[in-house]
Amino acid sequence: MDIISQVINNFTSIDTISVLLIGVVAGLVIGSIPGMTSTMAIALLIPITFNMDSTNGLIMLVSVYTAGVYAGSLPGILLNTPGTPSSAATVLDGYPLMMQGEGTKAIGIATIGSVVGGLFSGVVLLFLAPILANISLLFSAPEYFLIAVFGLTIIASLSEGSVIKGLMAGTFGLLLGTVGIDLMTGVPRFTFGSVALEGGISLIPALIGFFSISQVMMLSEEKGGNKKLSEKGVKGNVLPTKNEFSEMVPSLIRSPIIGVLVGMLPGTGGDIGSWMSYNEAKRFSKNKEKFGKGSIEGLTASETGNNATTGGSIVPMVTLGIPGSAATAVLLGGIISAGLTPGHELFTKHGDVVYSMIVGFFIATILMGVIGLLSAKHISKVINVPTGIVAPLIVCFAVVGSYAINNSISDVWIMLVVGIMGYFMRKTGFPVAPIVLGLILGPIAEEGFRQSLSMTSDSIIIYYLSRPISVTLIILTVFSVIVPVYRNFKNKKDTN
Amino acid sequence: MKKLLLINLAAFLAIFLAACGNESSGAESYPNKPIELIVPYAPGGGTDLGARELEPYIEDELGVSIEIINKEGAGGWAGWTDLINANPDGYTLGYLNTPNLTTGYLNPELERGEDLDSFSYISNHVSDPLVLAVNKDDDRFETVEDFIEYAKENEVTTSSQKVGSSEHVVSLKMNEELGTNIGIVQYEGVPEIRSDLMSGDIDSSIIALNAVYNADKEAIKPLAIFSEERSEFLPDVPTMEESGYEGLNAKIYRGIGAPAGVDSEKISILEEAFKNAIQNEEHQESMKKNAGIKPEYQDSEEFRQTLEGEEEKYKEVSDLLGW
Amino acid sequence: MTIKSQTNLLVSAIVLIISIFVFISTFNINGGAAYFPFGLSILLGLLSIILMVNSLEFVKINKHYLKDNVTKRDNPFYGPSFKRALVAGLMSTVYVVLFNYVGFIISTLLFIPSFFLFMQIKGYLKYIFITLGFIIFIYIIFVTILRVFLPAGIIFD
Repeated sequence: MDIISQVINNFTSIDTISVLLIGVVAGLVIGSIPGMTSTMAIALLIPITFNMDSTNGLIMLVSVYTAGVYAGSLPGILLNTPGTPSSAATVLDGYPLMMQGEGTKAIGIATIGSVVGGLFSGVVLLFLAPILANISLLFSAPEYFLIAVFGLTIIASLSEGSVIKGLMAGTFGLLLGTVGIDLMTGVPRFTFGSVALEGGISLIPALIGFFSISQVMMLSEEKGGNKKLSEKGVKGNVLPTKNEFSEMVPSLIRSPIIGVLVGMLPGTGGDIGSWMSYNEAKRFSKNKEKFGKGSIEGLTASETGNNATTGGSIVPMVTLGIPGSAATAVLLGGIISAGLTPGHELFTKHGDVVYSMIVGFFIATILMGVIGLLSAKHISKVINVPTGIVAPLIVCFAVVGSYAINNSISDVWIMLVVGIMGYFMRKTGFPVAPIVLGLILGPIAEEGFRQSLSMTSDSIIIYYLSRPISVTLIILTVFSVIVPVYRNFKNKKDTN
Repeated sequence: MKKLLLINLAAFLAIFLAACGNESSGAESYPNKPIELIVPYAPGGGTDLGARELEPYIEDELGVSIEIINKEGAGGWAGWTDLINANPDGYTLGYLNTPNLTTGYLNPELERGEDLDSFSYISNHVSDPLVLAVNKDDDRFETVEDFIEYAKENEVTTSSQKVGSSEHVVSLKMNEELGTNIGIVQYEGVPEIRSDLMSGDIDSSIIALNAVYNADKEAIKPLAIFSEERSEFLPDVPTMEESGYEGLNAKIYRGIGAPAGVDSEKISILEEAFKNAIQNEEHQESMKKNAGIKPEYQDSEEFRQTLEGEEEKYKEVSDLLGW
Repeated sequence: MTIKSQTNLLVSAIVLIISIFVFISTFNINGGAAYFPFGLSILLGLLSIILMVNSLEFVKINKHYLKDNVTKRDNPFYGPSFKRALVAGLMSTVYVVLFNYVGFIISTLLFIPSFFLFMQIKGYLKYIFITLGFIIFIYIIFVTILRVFLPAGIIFD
């Protein structure tokens, strides 16, 4: 009871409230700039928290985190450019929706999804943290490998149209993922002597380039003096209709669970959470064809999934000191420099700090939702701006954003090269999603597998089969491949 | 006409002299503008936090502001490449970390042309010894002798952060000299290592002390420390030497350097400033409390010698590493 | 629709060449790190061959239809729109080069108005306000608030 009163006390102070507001706004602004991620935002704001009361500092940082992950959807929907890697899957259906004149609605859907995902993960964090933390410990290299493979199986079905091209795109993405110094043996692969490539093709510049530069090039095809981004204009409500909401429901239930699980695992964050949620939404959807063309289910899945990873990744961070994502790794740094140690101690000795942080997380999530819904109509007016004006600004954001990540001009070059390549790929009918999936999941799969080889002296098959979670994942993967093939086969037979 | 010419000449001379004057007065009043400090790792990480802890004290000493620039990549070499290419005017400094610096230029796969002469050295900031840690509930290992004996008869796994890391090398040395069968599992970062150690997916972890210091002491149990003397952070943990295993010291160092060719006067000024800042009691306390890492000041000569020592060490084990 | 097959032919050839190049490169990689790219390059090569074969068949079957009904204009890579896209790409490349050499402010000052010209935006007031507004906005957020450093340009350093 003492803790509760302390927490309430915290939130009635002007300091805390203003810090929370600043955090949400900062997160919204930074997250909506393509090239700036919530991880960066947290990292850049940590020094500011040194001069603050540690509880307030943490509240600000989690507010930035949740708002930042959400805000990435906004440029994704309006400009086909994800604001953060967590929103890459959002653009697949968010942008088409905007082009169909439903931009405001798309923002509304993304907002609702993000809030639901965030709140769910907050609830889990509040009540189930210790249990889940122990579950996350059961995941190691073998499971990471299998999860990545499972995620990759969807590649074939993500290719609208040509399956061959989809597979080619996926394979190419996987190859791109091998660039860099190999973790297991320390040898460089495809780095051409460039120090910049030794770390691999940085994901964020690649995503920015792939989506935004290719988009700019496509926009440039016509003179843009008077052409708007979308002729359909801004109409309609922010809130989905009853029917539309019922379309969202399956994703609203499924994606938070996926997101929290993904978030809990160290090394996987919003980007993977959104893709896995998107994949599963498509797998179970009765309207698969709509995916990629403005599917409400898909949009919801992606945004709900990515925000659910936020609370999920905080779970192991506070209970075990093991961050569940890059952003929480930075957050952990903030906690430690505030002199707090994660673990049992944090909940007992500094309960008020942790619970204040969690409550702050809840409030920030709701707040960002409110702000998002209220401003959706105004934000989506962006599409009334002539393409000729939007295009160069996107390039500038992309360049500045890519540079800012790591003070590196090489990242900007990667962004540009991938972007131009992306233009050609889009023009020749290669789907985007498989390349991104390959780039993200490929390294996880390969590393996970080779790591697992070095972890056991037993036969690798025995090792995998001795782990219950691995076995489950293997069965899941096999089913997910066999079932569609079988169904396809049966369909062909029936039509004969 | 002549008058005009004379005036022009005089003006020109005056400007010329003023410029020259500025050159020398530049050295005397160094530093007189902000200094960039390159941290070749991500913000929020160990090196970064250490730099930010030190920042205010250095700013006090030098009287100018320090701008921390994070530039991660290639284990630190992205930042070090920038550092080497920077103007050696004393306004660009950078953190130099072992063993990444050493392995980076010694690894033949990477074909780097740089070596220790590409940098100038100012001082060491912190050092952190490696620790052998196991899962607290692991009954097989109560002491380091248990571990070593067990490892001689059976295969055990330990973690390493990237090929060529200190822990990688010391594990290879142990296998070579003690006859243990330590299998090395490479990891990207500490979170996964901690997770796997806690879940029992790896048998042990040889890891920097501050990673264990900040960890939940309920789950991890340090068996021995790879340094000459016991650490004040873990006073009950014996050293490897005490336990009878010699020649296995392994420490990481983080210090500050600059591109080669910086004026020795400027280096002295910096050395003095860093000495006072690093040895400042407040800073020392804060580092120990917040980062679990001990500041160990070394002046520019000593720091360079430390790095040369690391180079020697790595050259000795190069065949073990396959170099 | 049918012109796609001809484009596909070209693309599959390019991808095949890339996969051969990658395949050969994997022989320079020592150790276990080579397996994955090795396998992928083979997979990519196979897929590109399949695509090539499919497109060839399609082109063969539809040769007559293609000759009469498909014009140059159906080619996605022909015509003023493609050229415009390339110009946009080129301008962006120049921007990145300038960004590095003369810094954020000057390069952006040059880039945005040039692009506006290229896209035929009317009204010179727009040029001035938007360009300046953008530069100021970025400067405040990145340099002042977030303390991220944007290049001042190599020649100025």
